[in-house]
Amino acid sequence: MSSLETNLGKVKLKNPILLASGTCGVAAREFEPYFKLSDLGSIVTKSLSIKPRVGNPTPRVVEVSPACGMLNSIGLQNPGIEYFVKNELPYLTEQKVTCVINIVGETLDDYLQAVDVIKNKSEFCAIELNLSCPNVEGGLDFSQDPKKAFTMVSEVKKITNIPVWAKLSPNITDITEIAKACIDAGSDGLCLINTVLGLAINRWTKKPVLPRGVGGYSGPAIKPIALRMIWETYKKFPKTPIIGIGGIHTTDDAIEFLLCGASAIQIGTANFVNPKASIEIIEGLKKYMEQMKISSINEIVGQAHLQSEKPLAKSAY
Amino acid sequence: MAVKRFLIKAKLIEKKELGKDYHISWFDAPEIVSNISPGQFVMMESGQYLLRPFSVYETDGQKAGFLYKVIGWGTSFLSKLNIGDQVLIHGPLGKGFTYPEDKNKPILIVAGGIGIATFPIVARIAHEKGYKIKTLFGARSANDLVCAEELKKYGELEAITDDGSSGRKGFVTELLKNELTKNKNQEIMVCGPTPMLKSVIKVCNEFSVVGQVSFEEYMACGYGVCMSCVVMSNGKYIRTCFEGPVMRSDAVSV
Ligand SMILES: Cc1cc2nc3c(=O)[nH]c(=O)nc-3n(C[C@H](O)[C@H](O)[C@H](O)COP(=O)(O)OP(=O)(O)OC[C@H]3O[C@@H](n4cnc5c(N)ncnc54)[C@H](O)[C@@H]3O)c2cc1C
Ligand SMILES: Cc1cc2nc3c(=O)[nH]c(=O)nc-3n(C[C@H](O)[C@H](O)[C@H](O)COP(=O)(O)O)c2cc1C
Ligand code: FES
Repeated sequence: MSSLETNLGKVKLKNPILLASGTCGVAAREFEPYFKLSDLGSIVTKSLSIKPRVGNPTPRVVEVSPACGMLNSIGLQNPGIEYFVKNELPYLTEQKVTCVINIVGETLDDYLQAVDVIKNKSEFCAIELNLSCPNVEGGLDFSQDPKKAFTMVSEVKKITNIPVWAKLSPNITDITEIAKACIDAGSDGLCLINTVLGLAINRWTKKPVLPRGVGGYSGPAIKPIALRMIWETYKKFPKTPIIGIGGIHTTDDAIEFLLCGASAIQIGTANFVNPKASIEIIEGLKKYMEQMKISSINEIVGQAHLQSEKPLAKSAY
Repeated sequence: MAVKRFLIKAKLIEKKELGKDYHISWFDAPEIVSNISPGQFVMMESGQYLLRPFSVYETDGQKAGFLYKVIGWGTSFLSKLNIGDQVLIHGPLGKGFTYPEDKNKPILIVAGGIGIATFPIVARIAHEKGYKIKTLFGARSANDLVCAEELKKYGELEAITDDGSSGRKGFVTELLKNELTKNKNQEIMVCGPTPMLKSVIKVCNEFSVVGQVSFEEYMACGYGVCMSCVVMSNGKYIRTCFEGPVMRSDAVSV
């Protein structure tokens, strides 16, 4: 029997597939017509802040041709963490989903206040700190400055026992510096990557398409960037669970991330083009494991780093 | 009632060109046909990364028809498909139009440009239900007055063009003002480009009537998970694809 049960340090999931923050609504209610949420490893909530956020004006999204993905500048629109706990969390509990709560803020104090609201709740399997949203003023500070990242993670760790994952930005020269700071501060896992900064120009108006100019690039084109950053991080810190994100659309993509060093993965923009992408990947992984006679999915994590390993046969699942 | 959604590979079975840049494509899509309500839309494969939103223009047996104007990559892809080609269709999506409880309340359709594509199915069903229907149709020029004949089957149609090449010269809001001056008690259903919707909403507000307005915002997912398609409503951004596309004119800030 093949098992998809996934070990992420203290966090155990039924399988390694999660929905990524900001790509599944606030609490993934919109997936109800497509599959049971409890069939997933977990879901990550929209980034929640202590105060509700209105978000940016439109257009918020622009496609990158031909089939590379998209840029977004949503501006972290969310109803606030208290509203979430009161009105959305009961839904997830009813669906038997232990979710990952993603938290964002402008200052350290914002983050701490938000964590304070949920610090004792058992309904969350982990807190994902969004250190890296490019869509708010100063939003990259925590993910570009190792000292700030260290302070953030260690202060959060002081006030909660829920495992803490730091979600990192790729918009940096050496990802392992920030990764190290987070691990030193006690981070229980690292989520990489968030969106890549990009920009689109409208040749008719002669202006950037998005009102803030820059946006976050996601989708197929960022997959190699994510793999490279996971590769470097896993190589230096093989003991810290990595949750891989970035352009994952198919079972093949998912397997590549696991082999590269991610213990679990999040499905993001792929949800937009196929609401069932995550559930199809879970089915695909099951078939792959049976075919390859893999008993536990955890076995293949990081295997691409083993130089002497026999190559895997070509998959034909 | 549980929402029914389908992700299907639908086969193109018929296509028709309606003059320059306008096309109708019919797909074999029984799941969509039997679950669509007028004013709802689908997301359709586009040859690009994201799917594209299109209203269901009409149904016929097991076929769902889409009327569109070629404006870019996706619509061009759609227009070049061959009979027998299959594309991904996701839907039905969003909230459509509601028919008035009072069967004697006439329905006033206000369409701008390709916004007309939403209405043939709306008008046909209204006609079958016994409502009186009138359509006000504003377009750039005579060439853009597509499917006017079809709508005339269900009631009176008055056209107006920006350049005066057909009907009066001017904007559809002028026709709307005339109508409302005559009779305020009409169920107004609107679809068109955003600037036109905004002017129509202002007219509705002036006359203190509430219309049903279908918005066409840029959509990435079409089913409520990305927050890209928002419009402002009472100080909050709400999703065109989920809370809409049809919304009350007094709920949206312009
Ligand atoms: C709910 C809904 C229903 C729709 N129904 C129909 C329909 O029945 N028939 C029809 O012809 N069109 C309809 N549209 C509009 C249609 O979705 C766009 O024309 C289509 O997405 C254009 O795709 P493209 O790849 O050809 O253009 P692109 O190459 O993506 O874009 C070409 C240009 O058009 C602009 N553009 C693209 N999409 C939109 C949009 N949604 N709003 C404003 N500007 C846009 C782009 O910014 C760009 O400048 C509908 C839109 C919505 C939201
Ligand atoms: C529309 C959109 C909104 C997003 N919102 C958030 C967010 O609120 N918080 C966050 O941590 N990441 C957010 N992300 C980033 C994704 O979670 C993910 O890290 C990124 O998109 C890369 O993965 P992908 O290529 O699979 O989408 C958002 C991404 C998109 C496309
Ligand atoms: S298009 Fe994604 S929320 Fe409306």
